Amino acid sequence: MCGTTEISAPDRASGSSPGTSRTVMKYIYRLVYIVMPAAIAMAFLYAPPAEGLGESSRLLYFHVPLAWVSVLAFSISGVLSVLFLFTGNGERRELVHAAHNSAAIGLLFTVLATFSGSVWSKLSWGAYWNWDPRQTSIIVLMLVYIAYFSLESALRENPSRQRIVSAYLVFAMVTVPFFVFVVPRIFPSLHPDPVINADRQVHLESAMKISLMTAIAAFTLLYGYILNLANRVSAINEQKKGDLR
Amino acid sequence: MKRIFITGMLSLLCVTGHFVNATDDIAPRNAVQVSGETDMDRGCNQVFTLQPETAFGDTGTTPAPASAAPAEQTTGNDVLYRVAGVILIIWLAVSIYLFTIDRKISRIERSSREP
Repeated sequence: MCGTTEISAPDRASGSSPGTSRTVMKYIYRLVYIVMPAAIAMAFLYAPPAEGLGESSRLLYFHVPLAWVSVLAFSISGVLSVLFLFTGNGERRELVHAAHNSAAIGLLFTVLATFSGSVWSKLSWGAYWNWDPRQTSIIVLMLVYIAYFSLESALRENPSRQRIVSAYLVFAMVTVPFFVFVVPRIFPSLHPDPVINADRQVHLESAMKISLMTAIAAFTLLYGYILNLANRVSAINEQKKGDLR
Repeated sequence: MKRIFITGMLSLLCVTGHFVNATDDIAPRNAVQVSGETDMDRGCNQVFTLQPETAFGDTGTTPAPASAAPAEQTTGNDVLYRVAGVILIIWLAVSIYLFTIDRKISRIERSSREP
């Protein structure tokens, strides 16, 4: 699941390698080493600058994929938490670790999206921060996930910690569409129409669209790769804890 | 995770710092000029200066803007190549870091599977 490479008991007992699908996913994620440089080159050398925004519009190929990966990571952490809460009677601890890792990566990408957005805001609107509805909503979303990490640290000794933090992640996932898609549409905003808009069309010319899609693919692969690495580290830690007991 | 976060933040700081400087170089052809003259003002001036020539039926090209444009474009392209190069170098550093971690984890996984 999402790059989880927990070494299962039968695998450990037989000494066989992890499942084929996991190995395949591992190699797919490694495509990021090829796709990311291609995306960077396309952003600067293939895509034309946007009319009216000039060369600063090239931030599109980094800002939008970062924001997309944030939403994806938060959604996946919520789905994994739901799976943990409603399947396996709370025994599938690797799901909690995967959800935690996904939330951490999501928060990292949200910070980067906010940072790239504020630089673009400076170039387009003249100020790094002007409390635009989208800027405000992303800050609230970041606070929601920072609160998750505080909660998790505070409950370290609590035996029900995994259930409580999973329930919190489900709650946090529910707020994501509200802060990302609803709030910016309710209040008047300087932010341009998002890529996923009411018209259900991407208002970009073909070279820009291809570059943007490549960048989104590259950042999604990067997310999958980092999540895979983090899950493998969690699995090793769990195994070591098990050996010590 | 902490190390990944710090690496990401440092990379983005370098990239955006370079990018802001780069777009400052390109800015004259995009937006408001330092002197207060905008592209629209320049465009209007060009239109007004061209009008008499066109009125007398002289449809020949005006050499001054034509010679200025390629120079500006070259500078812009150079900056783009430089920014793309810097970002690719940062990506190279990040990818080497990720690949090293991947190898270390694989080694630990192999050793933990061995009896």
